[in-house]
Amino acid sequence: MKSKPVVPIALVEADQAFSGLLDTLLADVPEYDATAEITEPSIEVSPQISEVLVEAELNIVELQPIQSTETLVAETSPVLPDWAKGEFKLLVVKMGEMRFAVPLVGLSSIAPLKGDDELTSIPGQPAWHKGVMSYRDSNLVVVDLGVLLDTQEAEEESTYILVIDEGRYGLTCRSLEEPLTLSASDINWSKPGARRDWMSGMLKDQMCALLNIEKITQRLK
Amino acid sequence: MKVWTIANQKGGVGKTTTTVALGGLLAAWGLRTLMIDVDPHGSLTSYFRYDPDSLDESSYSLFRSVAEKKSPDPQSLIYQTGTEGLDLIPAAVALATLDRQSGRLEGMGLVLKRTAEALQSEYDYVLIDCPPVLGILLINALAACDRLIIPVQTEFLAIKGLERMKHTIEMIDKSRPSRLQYTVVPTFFDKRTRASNDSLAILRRNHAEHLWGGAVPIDTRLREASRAGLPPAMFDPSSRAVASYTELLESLMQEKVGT
Repeated sequence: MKSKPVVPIALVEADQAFSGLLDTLLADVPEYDATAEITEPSIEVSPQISEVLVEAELNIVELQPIQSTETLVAETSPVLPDWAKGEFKLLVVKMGEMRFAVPLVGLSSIAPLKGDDELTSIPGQPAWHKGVMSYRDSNLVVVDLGVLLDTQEAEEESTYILVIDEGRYGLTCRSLEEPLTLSASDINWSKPGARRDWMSGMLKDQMCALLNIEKITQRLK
Repeated sequence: MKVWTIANQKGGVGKTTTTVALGGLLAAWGLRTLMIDVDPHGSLTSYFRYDPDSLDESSYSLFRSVAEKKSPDPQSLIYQTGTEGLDLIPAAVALATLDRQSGRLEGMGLVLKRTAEALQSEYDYVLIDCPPVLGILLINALAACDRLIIPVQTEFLAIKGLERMKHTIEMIDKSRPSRLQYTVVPTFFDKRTRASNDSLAILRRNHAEHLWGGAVPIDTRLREASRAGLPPAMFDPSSRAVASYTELLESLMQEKVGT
């Protein structure tokens, strides 16, 4: 006995399906008027199609992997860097929409960035590689940290560059705040093996992560 | 009139409690407040002792009228809650079928927006309690509101629900005339547990721009208020949770967070 051939159904991309559904749902149709007669033949969206559109988005949403954040904290004690034994200074900077603290000992200098035209972009580089910039007689690789860490969209409003690794790399940032003088007890230090190795810990009551410049430099290399 | 939508694409994070708590406080402050329940589970409706399985008129009637090309009459759907100045348009279980039976979808996403507009002169605040599922109801609520309030249980999996919500907001923003303003509200916070503290730290790290500075504590008085069918502010104005919701409301009204 012959079975019917299975006809494949092409589903559009989830985001496309969702934005198509949104366009339809939020279409600015005229006010409802119970007395008005419909003269134009209307094109009905079949219930099956609308169902598929909604489910396409729902399925994708359901299928997103649930990241286990349990691994953020390993059951071992944090190891403090040498510079954190006494008081130390941190610079709080804004990168994209987020604030980060950077230990001053990890910074070579801070350079103003007047515009992207100061940067020479190099083809074939990863997305975080914004280009190279001439700085103190050598070339500095300018890095979008948010893109490197996959935490946020590319920064569009950079005004400063935090120069690290003896002038080899520069991290773009939007604005700078006054440096803070803190001691080890002001930080919730990350445990060894924490998933986000690019941060050394969180500033207590400051809602910002303390960047681990050494680990970030290792990633760049 | 201000319209606030309370939503998260994860269930059990405190949406209904947040709706009732804020609604009760607004009413206590003399502001005429309407809560609209569009969650087919009808938790908000049940809170006030109405049965979402057997109501003749509900928020479902709004969608039904629009689908039948009739003008909805929101006034006829308003129920009392027993608290002066706090009214309710209840939910019906039939809301769950909307996504499957809405044959003609054009404009069906604007039903709640038009309902709020029709009640413009009647209320100072409209609070919409949403289902945790992305579909016509949630899209309606997001299209109608001036501000989205996202309760997030201070627990790891709940934070994932917030990521989904953020993606939805990004998509909705493309269809709205203005960007959707939203405020993330940590709930079920238990300062003695590590999970609560760690989750709050993650929220502060990743969502600082939209995060309310406080956190609603776990408080058995909330459950007792629900059992009594009273908004927390009327049940026990001195409870810790009410103090916390009061702070939240003050900052929302001053538009301090998530702007």
